[in-house]
Amino acid sequence: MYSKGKEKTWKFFVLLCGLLMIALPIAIGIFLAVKGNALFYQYHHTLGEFLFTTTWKLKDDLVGGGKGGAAVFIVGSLIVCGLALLIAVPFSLAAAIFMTEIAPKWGTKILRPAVEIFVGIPSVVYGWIGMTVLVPFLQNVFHLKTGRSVLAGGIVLAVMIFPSITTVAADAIRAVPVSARMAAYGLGATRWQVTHQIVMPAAQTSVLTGVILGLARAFGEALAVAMVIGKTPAFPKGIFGQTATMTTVIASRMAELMEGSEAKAGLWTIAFILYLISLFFIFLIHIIAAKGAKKNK
Amino acid sequence: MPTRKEYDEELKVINDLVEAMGQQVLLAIDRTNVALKNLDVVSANAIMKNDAMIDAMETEIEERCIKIVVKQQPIASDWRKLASYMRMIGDLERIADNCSDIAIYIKKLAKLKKAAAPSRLEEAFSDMRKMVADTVTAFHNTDISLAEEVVKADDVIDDLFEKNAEDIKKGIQENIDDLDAYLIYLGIDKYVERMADHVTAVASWVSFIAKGELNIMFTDRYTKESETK
Amino acid sequence: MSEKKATSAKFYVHDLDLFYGSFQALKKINFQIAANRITALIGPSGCGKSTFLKTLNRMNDFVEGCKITGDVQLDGRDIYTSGMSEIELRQRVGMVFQQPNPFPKTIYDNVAYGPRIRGVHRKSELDEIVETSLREVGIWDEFKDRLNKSALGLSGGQQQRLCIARTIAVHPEVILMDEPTSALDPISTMKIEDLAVEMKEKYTIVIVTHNMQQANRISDTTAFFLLGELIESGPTQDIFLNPQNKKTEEYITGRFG
Repeated sequence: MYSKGKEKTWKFFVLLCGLLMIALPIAIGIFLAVKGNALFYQYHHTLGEFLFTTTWKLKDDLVGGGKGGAAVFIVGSLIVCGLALLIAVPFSLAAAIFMTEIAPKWGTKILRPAVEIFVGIPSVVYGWIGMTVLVPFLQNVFHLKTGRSVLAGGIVLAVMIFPSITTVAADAIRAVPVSARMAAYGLGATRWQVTHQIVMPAAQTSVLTGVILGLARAFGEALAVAMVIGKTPAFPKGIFGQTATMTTVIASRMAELMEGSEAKAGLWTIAFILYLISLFFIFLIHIIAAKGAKKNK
Repeated sequence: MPTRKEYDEELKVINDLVEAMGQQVLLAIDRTNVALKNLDVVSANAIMKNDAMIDAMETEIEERCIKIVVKQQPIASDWRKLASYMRMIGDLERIADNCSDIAIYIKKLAKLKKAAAPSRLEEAFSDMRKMVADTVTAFHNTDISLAEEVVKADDVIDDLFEKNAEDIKKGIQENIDDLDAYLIYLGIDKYVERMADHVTAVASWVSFIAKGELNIMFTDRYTKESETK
Repeated sequence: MSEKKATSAKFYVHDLDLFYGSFQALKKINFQIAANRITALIGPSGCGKSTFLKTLNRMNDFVEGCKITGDVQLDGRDIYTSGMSEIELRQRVGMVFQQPNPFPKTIYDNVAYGPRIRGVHRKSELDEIVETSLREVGIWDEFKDRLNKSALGLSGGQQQRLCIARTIAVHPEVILMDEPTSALDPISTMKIEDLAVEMKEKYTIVIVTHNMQQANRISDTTAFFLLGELIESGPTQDIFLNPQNKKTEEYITGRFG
């Protein structure tokens, strides 16, 4: 039964949700921007100082006057996430190819659900397992004083982002039309040639998108990384060294600092930077997708 | 499929029309035979008037065939039939024309003193008539062996033509006054032989419809003739 | 046991049975395909003509549960049992599909793909192969200035002709065409038909078609399939003017299927 009233109400509700979805991130952004800029307006630090100073000695009071910068944490995030990607991507691609090209029946029935289960595991569980299993393991095998390290963080993150990259890559590969593969087989290509030269190039835009999403997730992970990385606000001494990332420093210091203090303002600034970085990732994904679409015209 | 139904119905109509035309030609031959025996001028005129109807039948069948080929793109036996019909009706129409030609001669003969017809003209005429009747039957029944008999029978007619021509020559030598009549008989004899040729072609198209092998029987008179001095 | 084959046959097929699981898709097929001729395979949907075609270049291998018994010989060598690699087979027996399926690459890379996987990497050689192949298909002039544009931007007819060029770039002996024009407009169809007739001088062509007039126009030999059996085959003119089997006549005059 069609009633004009119902239509209107429904349209209004949907519109409200849509607007809310737009408004919310904008509101968060504004909030972070205001809080983040406190460091510069209230406590008179400069952007350059903030980005490049390698020590973190902001005062935990309302007076300020300390010096500090987020260089360590920014670099920490980059190193750990980069390492995670380096570890995860080859495994993800191999798993995706296996699931779709080599053993598709297995793939859909067993592997895909298995991978999807991974995605649902909470990060604290990953962190805990990392802490109790991986860290001692590294400690023993490599004869370290402590297993808490950049390597541990990289491995844990890699395991966390592996399932999402794999599923996106598998979907991308599946989306490549069978006809293109058949054409290649018809020309006498081997399975490896078809996968490598036809399927992967055709899927590459989507796969890249998946990788960036994985990277974004890695960047944003706080808890699991915090539990295995050592939380030392200094540059790591090699892959077995400890460091902190932007997320871990916020997670570990936020509670203990005084409200409105210089140090806390510093943390807000880091949070704002994280926000900007995730915007950047989304933007990057859009650009890649658009270029990919253009290539096919 | 609805289009094929229309197609099949039209094919049947054309088939029946071709057979009907054959029957009309047979009728004209019978009328001509009687008119010739009795030198009946009234009948001769009727035969000639009737020719227009047979011509009209040819035109109608031709049109239907051409239209249906464009519309339905016939192949296999459908096409063999249609291709054959278009050729057969031409020969049938020529046979009917020959009847009218003989009718003109009948009228001329009626004005002349009675002369002796060639002894075997009647025989040739009835043999030829049988050939036409058999062809119509063979067409109706798609009877290949009957059609092949018709083709063989053409030799007999050719033979009779020669014999009749001999008679006429003798007749002219014995009765030079009757030259005009004898020349007319020669003409009629020739027409009978022509009609047999035409119906032989029709019979070979009947074979083609059934067997699918194209084997049009042309007269071998010319080959034979070219081999004599 | 394979019997002696006729000498001028490119393909010799003897007692071929094909099963998809428990379903028998081809029943005791005995057939020969002559070299440098166009052989058309006709029949209603599901009759096995495409299945038969794909047997000739082992593309049926990709179907789960596909089993084949009988002999399929290319130039006297069985393509299933003599140890011939399917890679080598598919270079000798190329295929053009019903839906044009160019790779999502440039026009140049599409045509160069086959030679590249054969080990041809020198640019000058590839350039020559690409040009020759495109010329043979009659699209060189049309495409020579946009070899680096994506093949996906072409029209259906152009894509299909590109696929033909891609297939001949590896110099096959046989070209299998699976309803190559059924997705195309009449003018593209006509161009491809003319092309096929030109090409039979160099290649053996086997074409599956739903279009009887097409089979009639371009093929030398026609084979009629029905429910997995080869009902009748022979010179095309004979099949279409004077078919011996009643079922053949009924199919080609459109009275069933």
